[in-house]
Amino acid sequence: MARGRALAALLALLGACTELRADESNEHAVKAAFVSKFARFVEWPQAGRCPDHFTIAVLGKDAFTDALQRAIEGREVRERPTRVRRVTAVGQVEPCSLLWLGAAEEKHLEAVLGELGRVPVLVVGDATGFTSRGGMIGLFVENERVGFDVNVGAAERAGLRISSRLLGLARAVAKGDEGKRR
Amino acid sequence: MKPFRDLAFKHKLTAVLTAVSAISLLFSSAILLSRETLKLRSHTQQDLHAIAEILAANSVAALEFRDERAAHENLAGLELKPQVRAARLFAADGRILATFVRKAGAAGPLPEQAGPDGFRAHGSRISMFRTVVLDGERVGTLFIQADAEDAWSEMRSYVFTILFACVVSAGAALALSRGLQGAISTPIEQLTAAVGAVAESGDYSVRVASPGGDELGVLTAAFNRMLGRIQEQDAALRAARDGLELKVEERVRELRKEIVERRAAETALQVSQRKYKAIVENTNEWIWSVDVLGRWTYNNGAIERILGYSPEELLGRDCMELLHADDRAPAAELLSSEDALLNGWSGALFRWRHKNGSYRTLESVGAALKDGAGNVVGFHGIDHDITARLRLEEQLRQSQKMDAIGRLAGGIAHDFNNLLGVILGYSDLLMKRGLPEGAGTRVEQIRRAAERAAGLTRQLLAFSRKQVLDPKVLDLNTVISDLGRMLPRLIGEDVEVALAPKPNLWRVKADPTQIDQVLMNLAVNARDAMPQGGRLSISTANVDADEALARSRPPLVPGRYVMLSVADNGCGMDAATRARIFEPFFTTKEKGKGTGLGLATVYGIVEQSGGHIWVASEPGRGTTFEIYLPRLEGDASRETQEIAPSEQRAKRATVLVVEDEEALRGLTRELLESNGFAVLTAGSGAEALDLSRSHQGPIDLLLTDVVMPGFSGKVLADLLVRERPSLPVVFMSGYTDDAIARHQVLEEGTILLQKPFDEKTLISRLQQVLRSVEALVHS
Repeated sequence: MARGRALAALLALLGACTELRADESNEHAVKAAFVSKFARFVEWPQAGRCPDHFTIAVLGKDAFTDALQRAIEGREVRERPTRVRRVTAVGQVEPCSLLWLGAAEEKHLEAVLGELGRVPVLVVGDATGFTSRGGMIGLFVENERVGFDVNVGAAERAGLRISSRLLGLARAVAKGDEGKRR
Repeated sequence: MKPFRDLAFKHKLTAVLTAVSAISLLFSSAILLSRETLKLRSHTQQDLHAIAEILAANSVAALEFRDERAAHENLAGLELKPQVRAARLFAADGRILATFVRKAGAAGPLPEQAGPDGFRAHGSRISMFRTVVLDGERVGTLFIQADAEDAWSEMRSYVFTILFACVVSAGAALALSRGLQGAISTPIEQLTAAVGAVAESGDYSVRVASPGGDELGVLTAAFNRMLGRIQEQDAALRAARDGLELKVEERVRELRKEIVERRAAETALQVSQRKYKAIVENTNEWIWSVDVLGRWTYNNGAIERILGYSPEELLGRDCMELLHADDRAPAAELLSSEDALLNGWSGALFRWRHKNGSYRTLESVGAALKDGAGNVVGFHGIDHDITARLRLEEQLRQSQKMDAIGRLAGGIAHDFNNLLGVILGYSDLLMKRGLPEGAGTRVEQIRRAAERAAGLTRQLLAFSRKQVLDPKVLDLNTVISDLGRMLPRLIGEDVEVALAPKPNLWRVKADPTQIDQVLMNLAVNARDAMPQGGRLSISTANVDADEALARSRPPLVPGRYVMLSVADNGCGMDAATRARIFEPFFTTKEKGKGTGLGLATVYGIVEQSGGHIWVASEPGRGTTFEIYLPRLEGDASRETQEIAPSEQRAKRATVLVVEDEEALRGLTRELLESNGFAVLTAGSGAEALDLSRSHQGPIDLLLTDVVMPGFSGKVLADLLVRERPSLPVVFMSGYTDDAIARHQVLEEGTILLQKPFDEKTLISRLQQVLRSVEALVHS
């Protein structure tokens, strides 16, 4: 019960956060909340071969890790315990996980995608034109609100299916390698 | 208001029919309506549920990412669902993400917060909350509200239609039942009326018209049949009752007759029982029964008369108690003897103790009492009181014995008297002649001895009642007062003599000399019973003896008596002595002191005088003699005048002496001649007759013995008096023979000279007779 009440307080806090202007720290918190929720609308292939926990991997040194850490605390994705793990190399990313590619590593996007190949990993980032460059979900801030685009083709190449419900919320959905605006 | 059960049947029927149709109609309408309502509500809910499902699914992402625009777009799609009036989406944090209202103001207030899942109804509006879940986590809540107003208004008209139908059909039912009830209630009313009529009048001939073939028709027919059957049974019952009454009357008459007869029989039985009971109870025979232990179980009334006990007193007591101690063993022996058990007994004599202590002798006849199995359960018998008979027998025996003794004594005395007469006579003659010195005294001794012998003989004769009595009318008071003066000298001074003469004493007829003798003998006897002195009471009384007194002093018979009582307070005597005291020569006195003739003499005198003597005595309690002499009835005043003997010498008279005893005859002649009489003598009656006829001179007097061979002095006197009519007769007798003794008195005017007599007596008696004859002649 005490735990339930604590959860409600946290959710209220989270809600409050999303109302805020997307200043530096708030923007990170809202983006982290979005990242933590995407996995729920994604279906990984060969689900049986997935590890029994869900990992959000962060490549390179990134201040976003703490925000993610806070966002996923106490939450489960696909009924698995979820953790945030900092990785230094793409090879360290487990299948059926989510890879956050922060602004600092954004220039390595194509190399990372190439290295991942068909490994079912949802690649999320907030670089401009992230989906058009082969990223699967790209976050952006517009009119002081956080939004996202989705590259369904990139996801399907990695064997991932993204729910139409999520797609209904995306600003733009690209089918191929080239992300195009709706 | 009248209770329903008192309503007339037709009204009941109407009410029931109407109520049943109305209720059933209402009930079915209500079911229909509620079903329709539920169906309607269910349809609305299902619609709402389906819309909410779709909307929730579509709104998941919008809610997850709190995308208000996407949420609005989702809700805007509800425009196509006319029944949905409003909807609202709440985010997981409770923020309202989007709201849809079809027509502003018509939806009413919408919830500001998310509620728990489920439907809510507000009149025609139905709303619901639906939690939206993603991946097991609540992401928000959908509120949606629908309005079934159109459906409900349709439902209302439906209800009105149904109610109208209800009213119409109830009315129709009422009307119809009013019409129909007649068909049912009329026959019932007819039946009811018929039943009432039958119950009221008892007339079973009533019939009810049949209304048809239905149940009522069957009932009516059954009722009619029942009436018919009752009528038949009633008639049969009446007939049976009449018959029964006749029978009862007849039986009652028979019973009355029987009762009368039975009563008569009972009365007869009771009379008979009373009679036999009276016979049994009043018989003088003692009827009794005892049980095996000898305890009385029954005694009739006779026991009270015989033994003085009432039958009730003795019930249950041991019969041996009353039996004489000496008779108990023989009685027990008798009852246990086989012969008595088999054949009973008779003639057994037992002595029983009377309540007063005396004993009664009873002769018993009896037998054993046996039950049905032949066991002896007791004894019963009839006893006859033979005490009185035994006493009479005893008395008879006693008197026979006395008679025998008396006859013996009398016979001896007769001869003795003649002998003594001779001795006395010659002694007198010798002494008269003048004897030499010494001889006179000796003759005197002879004479005295002869006189004593004569006295003894007289007493014997007195006892044997064979002496000649010379009874006179007597006042016993005079006798006892004369004697009383003499008695002290006779019995001594130690004995006090008390005389108690009863005034106005009745007279008796008795020989005074004999009564003197009786009194003297009793006085002497009393003195001998009181050697230390005592009291002698002599009293007289008039006694009117009744049965009881007579019974207590046997053999006295009821009548009037003068009682002379002589009582002492001396030693008394026991019963055995008492029984024998009157026997001659029975004495308890020392030898030589008594002759044994005293009381025997008393007895003889009293009996000869027509009286009775009775003695009461107990050892140590004195003795009382009671002498009962019959009262002299009638001429009590006549008394024979004693004529004093005259010394005057009469003229020489001729005396015919008849005496069979020669010595006495000679003596008499000598005595008479020496006194100047002329004497003729004869040895027998026949000789005397001859002499009388041959004798030429006069015979002035006949002196004859009474008892003689041939004919007696009496007969001789009669014969001679025929020949010499004025011849006086003087009888001489030693004892009275039967001819004289039959009446125990001599005929009037007869003169008797008691043998043995002395000269003086002889001469004075003859002179007396001659003088009286002379007086007769001269007068």
